[in-house]
Amino acid sequence: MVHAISIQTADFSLETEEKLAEASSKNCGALVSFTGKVRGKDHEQLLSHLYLEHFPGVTEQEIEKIILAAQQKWPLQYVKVIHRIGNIKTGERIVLVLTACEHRKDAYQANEFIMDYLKTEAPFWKKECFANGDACWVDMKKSDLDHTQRWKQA
Amino acid sequence: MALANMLKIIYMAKLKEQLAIAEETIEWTGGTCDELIQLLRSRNELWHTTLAPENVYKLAVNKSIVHQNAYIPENAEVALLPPVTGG
Repeated sequence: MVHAISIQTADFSLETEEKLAEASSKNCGALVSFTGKVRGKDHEQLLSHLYLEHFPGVTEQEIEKIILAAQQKWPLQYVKVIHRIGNIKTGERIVLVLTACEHRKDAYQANEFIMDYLKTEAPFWKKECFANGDACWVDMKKSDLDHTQRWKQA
Repeated sequence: MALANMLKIIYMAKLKEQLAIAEETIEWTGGTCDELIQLLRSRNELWHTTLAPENVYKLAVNKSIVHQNAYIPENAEVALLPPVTGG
């Protein structure tokens, strides 16, 4: 399995990433990509942008562990995880998880597994910066913990 | 060269802002994660509430996340991580 992790401030191109995946997985019949974007309105207040902080070195290590755990469960040929940090405006892309397998169900499930674990294990922190100048750190969602827990019971 | 019997503590994200400190070095001769948290909580009311159990999700010892009440040796670097919200 070929896999790569990138924590970056810059945006990414899905088209470029798909081409890279295709070049790295020879007999791949399924390529699944998840792109997370910044919602403009999550509350009453209008959001200006998100500020993303992470723990350099540790974040990459934790994502690596998640990818290797997925590899134990599904026959993955290629995995790419990109997560942006810094200031990210509403409507912009924030995260990409790309999985390539021979068959569709494996690629779908592995993709969801990686994304679920990323949300509860990888040390990223989001701050919502509103149009009126207010800012607050986002609270962890119980539903995210439930999603990860579901894989442990599966 | 590191001084003997010390511990470097790094505060991440919300904890860093609420405690108004990014990192510090304290005297430490070894102990568990729980012992360290208790020690920090005992500083004053702000530390007590900021480092309440629901606000400290995980600790990383020497840049490796520990899942249980791990032992933190002297001259280590420990990071306090609030609940994570990536993705």
